Amino acid sequence: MAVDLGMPILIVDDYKTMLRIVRNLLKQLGFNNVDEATDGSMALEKARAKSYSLIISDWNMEPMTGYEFLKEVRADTQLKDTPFIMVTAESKTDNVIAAKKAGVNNYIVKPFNAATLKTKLVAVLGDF
Amino acid sequence: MLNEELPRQIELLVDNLRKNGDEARSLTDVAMVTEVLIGTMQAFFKTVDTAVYKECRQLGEYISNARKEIASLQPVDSTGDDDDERSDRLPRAGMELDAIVQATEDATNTIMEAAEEIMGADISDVDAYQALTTDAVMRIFEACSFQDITGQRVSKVVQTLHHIEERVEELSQLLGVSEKDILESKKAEADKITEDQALLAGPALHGEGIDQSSIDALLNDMPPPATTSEEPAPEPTEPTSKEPAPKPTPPPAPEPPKAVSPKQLDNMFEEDFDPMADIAAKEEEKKAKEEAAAKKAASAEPIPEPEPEPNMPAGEEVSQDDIDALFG
Repeated sequence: MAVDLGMPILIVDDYKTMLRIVRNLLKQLGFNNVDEATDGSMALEKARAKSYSLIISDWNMEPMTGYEFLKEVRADTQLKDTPFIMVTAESKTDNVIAAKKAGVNNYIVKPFNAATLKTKLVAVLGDF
Repeated sequence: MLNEELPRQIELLVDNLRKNGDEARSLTDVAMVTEVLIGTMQAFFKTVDTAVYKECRQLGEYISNARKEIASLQPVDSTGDDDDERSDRLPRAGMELDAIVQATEDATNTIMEAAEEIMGADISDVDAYQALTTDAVMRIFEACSFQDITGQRVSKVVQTLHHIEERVEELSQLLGVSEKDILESKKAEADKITEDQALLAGPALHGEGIDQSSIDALLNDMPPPATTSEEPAPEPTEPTSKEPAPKPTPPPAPEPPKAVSPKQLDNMFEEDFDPMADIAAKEEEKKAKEEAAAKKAASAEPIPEPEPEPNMPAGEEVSQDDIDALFG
């Protein structure tokens, strides 16, 4: 399956530096159509307004966490099939299992590198 | 109060007995007086009892409250039950801070190494140059993620500090520490600080301190001799300090220099540390670490992907590999 590098991607993190890092790493991998949100509720609003092909979200954010956002996405008939990757510093087994149960497609622990990000993107989207 | 009444009542009784002179006392008289006396004494002892009891109870409460407050400050829970999260807050905070220092150091090194690679790259082969810079730039981006992670760690430490602040506040209220006590202890502390220590406040917060242009202005305003006289002796660049004074050579000594030359100024500030040696030491340490990491990675590689759940103990931190195993 060919991956469309122009696909719209939503990245969610409360740290602006992290958004910038992820955006730049994605750009390096060839993805240029990237939108940002700084918490779950803002992300949900954006996701409902525009159809994204991929969501990459942090966990620990205020007021709505990435976990709640994930559950909202999976509960929404319009959004429920959107690929969702969690990128977070939360690295307890319980977190990973909870996220998986909630329907996350993949999980990246911070700090991460470009190679890890690419591997996970390939795992979720297919080779590119 | 009753204890004042007691002697008076006994006095009354005695007076009463005296009034009747040396008439023979009937048994009933004696019995009556004794009864009154017993009643009075009982009432007295009862009040003494309750007063002492009250005091004791208050003291007990006070001690147990103080103990509770101190216990909540206690770094490690000695009973071993760790359902109380704050039991390991203090050591945890220390570890978070250590991790912050480590993360910023690693990030700084990674960024500087990448920058050095770009600076030292061979530009004759454009393709190789582009590949190298791209790779280096990526590593810089990756390294910058320390800001997010250290930020999260810092907010945890701040939480712990707030918690301790509250506890200490409660404890000091409990113990009746007054403003005056605080001021006194502050003053005592201030007295202990030497002049040198007083100059070590660390980095200023936003809005504190002065900016570079104010510093420049200050330095320009300062009369040059002041800098030399205030600087302690070990000034290798200052020939004057080596020359003992009793040398009344006619040509007026060129001692008081017009101004400190930039070079001299640099020497003044850099005397104690040798940046090159510092970098070399860091380099070596880094190399050793990398080698260790490489060895570890090499030995880790051939191991097949572990089975998902079984080796993921609940509640523990897991690695990316463990997580990958979960997602197959």
